[in-house]
Amino acid sequence: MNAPLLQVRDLCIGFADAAAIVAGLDLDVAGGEIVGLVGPSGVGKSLIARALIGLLPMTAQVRSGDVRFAGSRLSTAADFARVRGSGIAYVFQDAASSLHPLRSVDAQMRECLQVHAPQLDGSSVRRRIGAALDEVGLGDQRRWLDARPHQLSGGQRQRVMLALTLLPQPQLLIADEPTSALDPVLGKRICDLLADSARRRGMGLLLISHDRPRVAEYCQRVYRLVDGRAELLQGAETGLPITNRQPPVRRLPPGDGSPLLAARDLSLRHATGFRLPWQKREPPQLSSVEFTLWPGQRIGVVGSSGCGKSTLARGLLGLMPALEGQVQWFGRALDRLDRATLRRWRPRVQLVFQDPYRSLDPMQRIDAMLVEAFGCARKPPPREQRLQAARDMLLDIGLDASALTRYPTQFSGGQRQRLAIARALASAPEVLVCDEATSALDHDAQAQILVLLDRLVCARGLALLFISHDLDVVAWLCDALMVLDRGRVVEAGSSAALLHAPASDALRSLIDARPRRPLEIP
Amino acid sequence: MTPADRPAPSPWRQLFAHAAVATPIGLLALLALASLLTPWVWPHAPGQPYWGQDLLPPGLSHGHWFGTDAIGRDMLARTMAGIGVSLAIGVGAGVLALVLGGLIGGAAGYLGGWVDELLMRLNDLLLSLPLMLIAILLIALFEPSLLLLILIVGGFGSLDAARILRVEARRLRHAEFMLASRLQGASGFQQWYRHLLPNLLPVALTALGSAVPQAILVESFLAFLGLGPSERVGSLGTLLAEGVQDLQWAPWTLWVPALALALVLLGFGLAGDALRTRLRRVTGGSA
Repeated sequence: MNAPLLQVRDLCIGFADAAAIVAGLDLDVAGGEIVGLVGPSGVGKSLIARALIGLLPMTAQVRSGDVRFAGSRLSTAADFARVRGSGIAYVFQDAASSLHPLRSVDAQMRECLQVHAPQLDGSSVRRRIGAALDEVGLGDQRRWLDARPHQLSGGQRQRVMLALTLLPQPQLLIADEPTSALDPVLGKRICDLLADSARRRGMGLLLISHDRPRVAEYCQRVYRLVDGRAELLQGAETGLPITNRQPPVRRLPPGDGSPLLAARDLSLRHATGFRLPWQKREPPQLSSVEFTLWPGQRIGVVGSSGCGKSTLARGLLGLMPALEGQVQWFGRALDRLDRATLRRWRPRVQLVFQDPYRSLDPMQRIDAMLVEAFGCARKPPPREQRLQAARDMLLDIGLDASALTRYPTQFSGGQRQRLAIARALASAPEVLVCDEATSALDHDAQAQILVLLDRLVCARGLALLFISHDLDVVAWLCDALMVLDRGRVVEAGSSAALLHAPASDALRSLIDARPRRPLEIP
Repeated sequence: MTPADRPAPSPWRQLFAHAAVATPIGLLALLALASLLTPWVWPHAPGQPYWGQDLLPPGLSHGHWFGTDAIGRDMLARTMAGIGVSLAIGVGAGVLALVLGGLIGGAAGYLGGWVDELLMRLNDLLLSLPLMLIAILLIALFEPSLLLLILIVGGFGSLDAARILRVEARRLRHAEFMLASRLQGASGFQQWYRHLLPNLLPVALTALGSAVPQAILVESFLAFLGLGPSERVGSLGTLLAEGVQDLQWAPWTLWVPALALALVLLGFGLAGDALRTRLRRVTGGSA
């Protein structure tokens, strides 16, 4: 191995009056090497990244330790200012908020060169900018140079951001969650791009992510951040063998009972505001969807972002009126139900949201939340037993009874999602709809939630509609699959069959974008 | 993040049990308490003139610690009473502003659609009127009293409060936990009092931090113009107006009430700021 470009020894970072978050971190990145740093959200990954470029938030400070870049120690603000950009570059997680919203791509790139290479003349500036855009796959320069960030898609923004960071020709690139704001297809492309650039330029690359399988694919070494220390993952642990264990057989034969949830030729469109007569109507977000959910069945809905998955969930839950066609609940058309019946039936179909940080009421204590949910069931347990029921429910989802007297902000992301599931189950539903229920979680929490869902859905004989962009998750959990692309169902059938022989481009690109070492589910 | 094993304080406790919030609130409580207790422990009454003892400078020897005014009234007693009146008007008007504003803004934000448009355009219309002029008109029309001042100042304050709370109610209307409650079959009213209200309340309290000083200032200004509640129960504004007249030869008649006013405003300002910061932390940054 070459002499490390970046050498971190015993780095401790902490917030003003709290225990250190990062405690004794050792990390090396050599030129041309790709190193991953993974860990669940909130363990201090971004803090490390910011410490490495000397941009820690005001409230945090480096307590001790040593950061060396290309042999020289970085400690003062001036040291960092010298290497920032041209030595160590940083790709932010969210390109949308890190590009200047009002300036063109060209202006932003010129500004960057003015700072880092003021000696260049006009034509070489143009050449450099052109080369950088080429490198990130935005070949047709004239089209991009005048664009403002709002005219670019998420993937294009991330590419522009990357071109900007590559302009001063840094020796080390730190990418902080470069893909988590993107869907898997785009995420893979961006990661490919990063890895290619690193290899071509002999640049060191530090990939920071909560998505272990995605990162592991590209890295020579992967560190996991545990208790503020980086721990080198050995080959197998980086997520090698896919345990594509089939979920236990548990299906009831279709036709047993009546369909629980169905869509008949369903089209949906989001309500738009006031529209002038000459303004064109937007096309519906979803058109002619046909599907049936039988008791005990598990259907997965996949598709890249913007394909209408969440719209489908909202439509099926009766949160938006059907444009055409109808939604049926338990054999009855939803739009024919009167309000009282609908309200009485609502608990029978429950939703688990994507982001557990927003779906729990921050002002409501857990016992109040669960008691409220139990009270909503069609046959609610008697009032005095609800608290006990809540306690049992918590045990069932793997939390202990002390959680009852706590508030949602006092739980981790994974625990919050458990609580969200508990709330959904407390009102004794027959159908559980999960809208990206695991995608906001880190790798470990995701696997745990999946196992939990599998168990609970089995034990209660629920039907499941699981919406996700993550093919592995859906394939593991569901027996039937429905692929959405630009508002239409392009493919549907049993998951095993579809995954082995995808017929649509949408599914094929999702399969391609899958990390080669997918999610391990214990 | 709180360690898992510690018993959890409620969001309300987290909001208030912090030095940055508790200190200014303590200061305000102290001022209010002092104002309430002064008649019991201080020998001089605020309205009592002492002939021949007019315009005494502050000092301990003559028994009027903060001096006396032009007709020999004790400044300490007057200032303490003034603090009480100003606080009463400020808090009364502030609470009124929030209740009214909460109802209007809450309804507009929560119901949305044409109700929102109607209420908010009406609000804009009222906001575009010259408030001071109308206030002076109203006071000239009716007998100036404490209640009238509270109604006027609170009424105007509610316009601003409605705008703040509408935004919050609108955000909460689309919050996923509200949706979850709706999906459980909760009625609109149940969603309202179980989720909307508890989440709206801390924001309203934070808004109180700016509504109250606003009200106190408006009232002081009106009193300064001679439109205060009445001579006998002078607010800090009344005292300021009188102090200005004697500024040249008795500056303490201005400085003492001015300092008291500054203390009150400082208390509310600091409390409001700290509450806003804490709120962001307690609700996980969403607010």
